[in-house]
Amino acid sequence: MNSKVASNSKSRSLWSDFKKQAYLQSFVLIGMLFLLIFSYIPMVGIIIAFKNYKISDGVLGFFTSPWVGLKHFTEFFTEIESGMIIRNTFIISVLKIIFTFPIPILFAIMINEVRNVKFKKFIQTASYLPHFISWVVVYGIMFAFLSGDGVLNSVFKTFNLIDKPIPFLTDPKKFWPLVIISDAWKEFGWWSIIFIAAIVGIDQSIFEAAEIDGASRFQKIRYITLPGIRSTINVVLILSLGNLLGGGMSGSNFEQSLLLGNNLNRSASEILQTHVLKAGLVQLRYSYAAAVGLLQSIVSVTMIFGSNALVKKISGTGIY
Amino acid sequence: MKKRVLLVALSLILIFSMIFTSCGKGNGTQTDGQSGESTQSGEGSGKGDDTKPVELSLFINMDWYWVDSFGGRPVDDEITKKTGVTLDVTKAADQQQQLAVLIGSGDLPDMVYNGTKKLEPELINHCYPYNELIEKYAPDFEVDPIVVANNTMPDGNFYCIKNNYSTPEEYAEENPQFVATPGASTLHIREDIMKELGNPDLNTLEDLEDILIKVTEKYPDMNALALGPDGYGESYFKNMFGLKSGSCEVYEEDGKINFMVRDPKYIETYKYLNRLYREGCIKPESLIYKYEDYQQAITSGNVFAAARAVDESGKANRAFNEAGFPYEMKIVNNMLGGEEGGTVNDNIGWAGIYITKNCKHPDKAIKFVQFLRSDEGQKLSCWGIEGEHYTLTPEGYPEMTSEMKELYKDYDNMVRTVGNMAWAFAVSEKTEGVWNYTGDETSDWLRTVKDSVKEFRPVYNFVVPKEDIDETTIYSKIVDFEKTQTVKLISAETEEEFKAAYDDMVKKLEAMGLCELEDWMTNKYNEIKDRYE
Repeated sequence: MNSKVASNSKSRSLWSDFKKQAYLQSFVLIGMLFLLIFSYIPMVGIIIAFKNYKISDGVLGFFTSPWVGLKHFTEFFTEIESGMIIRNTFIISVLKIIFTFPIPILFAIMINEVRNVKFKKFIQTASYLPHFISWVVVYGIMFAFLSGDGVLNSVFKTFNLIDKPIPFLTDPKKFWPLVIISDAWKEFGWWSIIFIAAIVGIDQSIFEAAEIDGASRFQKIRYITLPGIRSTINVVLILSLGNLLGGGMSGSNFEQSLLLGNNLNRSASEILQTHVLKAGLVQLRYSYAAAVGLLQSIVSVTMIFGSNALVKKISGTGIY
Repeated sequence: MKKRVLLVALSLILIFSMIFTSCGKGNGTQTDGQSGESTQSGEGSGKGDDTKPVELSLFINMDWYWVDSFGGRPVDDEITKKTGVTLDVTKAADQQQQLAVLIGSGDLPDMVYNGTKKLEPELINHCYPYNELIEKYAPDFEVDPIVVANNTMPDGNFYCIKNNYSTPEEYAEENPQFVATPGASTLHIREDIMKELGNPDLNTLEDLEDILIKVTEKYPDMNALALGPDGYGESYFKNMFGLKSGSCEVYEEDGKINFMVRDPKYIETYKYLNRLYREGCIKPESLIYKYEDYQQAITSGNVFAAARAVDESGKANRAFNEAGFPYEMKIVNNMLGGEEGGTVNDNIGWAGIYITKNCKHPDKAIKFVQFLRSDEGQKLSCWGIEGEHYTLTPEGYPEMTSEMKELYKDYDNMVRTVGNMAWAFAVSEKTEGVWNYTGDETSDWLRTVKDSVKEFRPVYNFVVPKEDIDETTIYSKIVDFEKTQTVKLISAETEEEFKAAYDDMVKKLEAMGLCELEDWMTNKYNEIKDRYE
């Protein structure tokens, strides 16, 4: 009897709490509805990965088309190029994390040490502007700079550094460095904002105390700044690892491979996402494309849980 | 506080109503459409059908299409006058996906104008067969038996009449003005550089090779040969070498159907291009050009020869003129391949009107197609209005009026102003061919192309799998894979490397199931070859 009253009053207080926050809660609700409609409901479509789906069956065909089990998955693994595609996807993704992840952190620390405010503002703005240029435009710029008669090759030629133009855009060996450098250039400024914000959030009195104790600049960075932004680094790292196969922080793997990839460098540029696009939308093999996409999602989910657990174990903080 | 609650309540209502309308859209609009249709047709029959034109919705599955609305142009209005039909046009934003989505969602309009072969088997599941509609509503609509055969699907019905097709008899007729379509792949060269070289002979592929090498020696930074993207440029050389396959990329030899890559001429073509690459005449970049890059390379004056459609030199010359460059490009007007060269015509037509089962007035729709297919309709939709846009010569050929000739120079603008070609959904290759004849170097070349057809093999379209079977997937996979490999053949550094790249490609194609596919196609060929004999 007593407990019933208690639980009743508890639920009532929860409801009245909710009512009190109705204004704020409605914002959350909108976000949740967005996720529900655009992320959760479409997941029903995953079942076509296990079926033989034809577009003429319509949406109902998701449910009525015949089951084929893991046929499309085995098809992917027996495809002659699947080894190459998996290798490219993983190598590009891992290299991106290794090389592009530390840059915004270093940049944030460096910019924090700049004393001239105007100069600091200018550098910061200039560094994150490329983030707002779409990859299509970046591709255009890169083509102008890197093609055989592009700016870079012309400069090299005038200084007699080369006799034959360097095939930046067509040589498979140059594709990986190309995407990593361009990705780092485009995104480091943007991602440094979050780290700069974290540095600003560190209590200034700690720096002052350290100064009085005679700490050098590097000591301050090592013992105050870095530990101060460690939790931010963890969160960004976990999110990046969760999107590892998409291209880490910027999620640019697909756009880069689609635009910078071509038939000459395809042995280094073809990745899971471009393969899904070609199989699904060009060859109309929807079920197969869904299966390959699902494989990638499974890897991503594993990565996000795995990396969170790992980070939690090492540093004690995780996202959840 | 009250205001706040109201605000929250209102925003929630808004959100929910949005969700429910979007979820219910699939079924909702359709019933809406149908109920609207019944009232409309009710009204129509009440007032009498002839007075008020009927509106039919049409999806044009071509993202490059010239126009996206109907009415207001001379030809449009004339068509409405003749047929009592106006069109509510939707142009595809993307011709790969949008139609697939319309098919999947059941939201197809009354009619679809489609030329994408891949989607045809899916589309016809939702369409009325022409033979049924003709029997029911237009018994006087006569279609040439060979055209019926060309458009017949595996279920025995035909669902459209594809345009841009002419029968072998029409080809064989002595008709000096019947020329190939402007899409024919063509080689263009810079006149000024030819002059600098002392106008050397250019009659064979060897001549071309010598000239390209000379140009490369003289101007090492220049792109001596730019190949039109997406295999367009390569197709010019395939024609010159005389491949045995046409657009279906298969050919028959001793009763067996083979994929294009087995053709010795195929190897010769790529060996030739590979030699040019190794000589430096083809720059690596030109192998990865997207259309804009290719266009830009030409107009910047950095290309000596370019292979793509027939209008490239016209476009380039306009650009040169605007930029103040003192040079011009011209079409190479002779068959460099000589006797060996030429094409296999496996054309059965290009695109056609499909009448979907959502169509509110299938009777009007089939009559609309009947008019466009008629002699009068073809001439109107292709040439324009007699007296206004063309006059007839004593021999019966159309001659553009001077105003039209001026407009023709900017083709896109002409279509948008006059409306001819915009609704040429059922025009035969001949009707368009004689109209495209202008009597200049372009026509000469297009006539050479038309005369270079060595064989007519429409049957190839029917040996290629289209049904929902594994062979269809294999076919689509190997066709796409071959396209990714040709640049490897062209860009091989040595002859040995070329051979290795070719062998590797064939090995991979066979691993994808090429041999099984060829067996399947050979069986199919034996089944149906009688239809074309």
